[in-house]
Amino acid sequence: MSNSDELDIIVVGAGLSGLSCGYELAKAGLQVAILERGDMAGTKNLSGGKLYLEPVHEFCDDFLKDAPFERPVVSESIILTDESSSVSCRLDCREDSGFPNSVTVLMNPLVKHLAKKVSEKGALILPQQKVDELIWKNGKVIGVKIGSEVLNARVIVLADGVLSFLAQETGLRPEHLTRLYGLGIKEIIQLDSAIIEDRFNLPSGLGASRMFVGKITQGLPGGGFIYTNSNSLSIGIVVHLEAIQDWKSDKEIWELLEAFKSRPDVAPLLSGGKTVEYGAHLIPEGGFKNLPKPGIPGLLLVGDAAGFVLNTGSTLRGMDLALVSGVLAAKSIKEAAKKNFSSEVCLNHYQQVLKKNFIINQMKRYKKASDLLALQRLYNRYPHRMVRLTQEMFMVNSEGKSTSFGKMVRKFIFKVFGWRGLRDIWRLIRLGS
Amino acid sequence: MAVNKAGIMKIEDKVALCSIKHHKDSHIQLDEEACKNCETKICVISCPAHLYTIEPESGKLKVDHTGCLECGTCKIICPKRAVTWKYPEPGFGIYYRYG
Repeated sequence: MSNSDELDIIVVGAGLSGLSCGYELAKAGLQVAILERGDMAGTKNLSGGKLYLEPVHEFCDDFLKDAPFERPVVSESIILTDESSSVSCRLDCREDSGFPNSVTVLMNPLVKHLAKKVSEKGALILPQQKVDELIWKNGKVIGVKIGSEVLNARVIVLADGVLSFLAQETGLRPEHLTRLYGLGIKEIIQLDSAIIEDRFNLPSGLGASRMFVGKITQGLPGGGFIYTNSNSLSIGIVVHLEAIQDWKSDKEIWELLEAFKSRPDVAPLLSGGKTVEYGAHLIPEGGFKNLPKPGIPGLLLVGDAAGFVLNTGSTLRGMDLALVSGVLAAKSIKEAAKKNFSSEVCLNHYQQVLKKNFIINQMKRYKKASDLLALQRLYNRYPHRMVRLTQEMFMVNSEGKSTSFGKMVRKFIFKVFGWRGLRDIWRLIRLGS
Repeated sequence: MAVNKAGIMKIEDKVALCSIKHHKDSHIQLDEEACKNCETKICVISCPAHLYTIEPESGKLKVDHTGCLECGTCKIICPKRAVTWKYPEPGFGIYYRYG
């Protein structure tokens, strides 16, 4: 194949990371083709539905301008769940900072919109292209194979998502292991926008995020969420895959979501709504310790394919890391382009900018999170006891007595948590510090 | 194991809501020998679309690829590495309209 047939860059996957990367490259006048296995960009993507904007602001301001977000989140809560009762800690933020920290999103309309922007900048987005394998020459990746067809490029960017069979082929990522993944299951429930605002106590056009921990995952490490979209709710659960493997239950995993939806403290929020879509997706949850090297000569990994997901216990972030890693990869490629696409410059630069920016340093900071968050007692014992104690706090017994504040505090320390629990709390507090 | 209690949706009905164009050939293959000797049947429990079932008479494990949500759980969770799972061919499989 002659040099004229060679593209500058091939991006595999038109999701958030592939598109943010393609956008930056096309803007710089480089020749980019983005290969997408779906019928069009956005049809194979699924996310929980909450995107943290603050961290991507600096990198994707222009790219995300006019993006079809659902609602800026102004109400956040964490809810500890027992069998049928719950205790919640809720923040209703009414300060107008002019810029939302996070927004709720639906992937299909968002990705579709972004893909259009990328095309307008001159990148070629080719749908229905499933890359079967990589093409190598002298230890360097030089192209991709689609069926019997070969496409060559100076740099290949793998943005092919959490399963990334291609990253596995390179040896950068280990064989799929359960401890490296979480399973997310989600439903979209259509509901009138006025009803959503009424039920979630929201000003017009603004949104809520509800995180649930405890009984809803039957003691399995994980949690549940409800996010308000413009005219629908995203409701789902995330469970660690390794825990499902050892799960002793007569239930199937999909039943957890049904049980969550029918809880007496959740069902009224969904009442009258109509389920319009059901989906499932894996989440890379290996954390810092399991991060692969982000590339090899001729190839870079971005987004989920690189394992860029940050779980801090109170936030589970992937989409912002995907967007930013795509931009960083593009910067490195632009840098390498000045030096005849030197694969050494490209990879070194990418490793450096990843370290300098929040992706690697935040993931490193939370490197102990995955072990701590795998402790089952965080999901069964503590939430259950917190609900019981809070119930007691508000109770008056037949003798007219209520529990004194001092007694509550003692119970909180010794009964709810105990020494081991206090140590767990200490470890949770210390996470990220 | 669909639950019929009021207010709870059957999994078949949930999967039916999804826009899926299925290929006549399955993108999921099982190693029948390995499955026969597997006691966990973890695929049955963990598939979010309830695609894995055990035939009551023969006790044989089978998978219906037509409702696949393309999460990949079965491939990763199988302790026998008996699931060969590939992306469906272009133009086929799940089409998330909301995501």
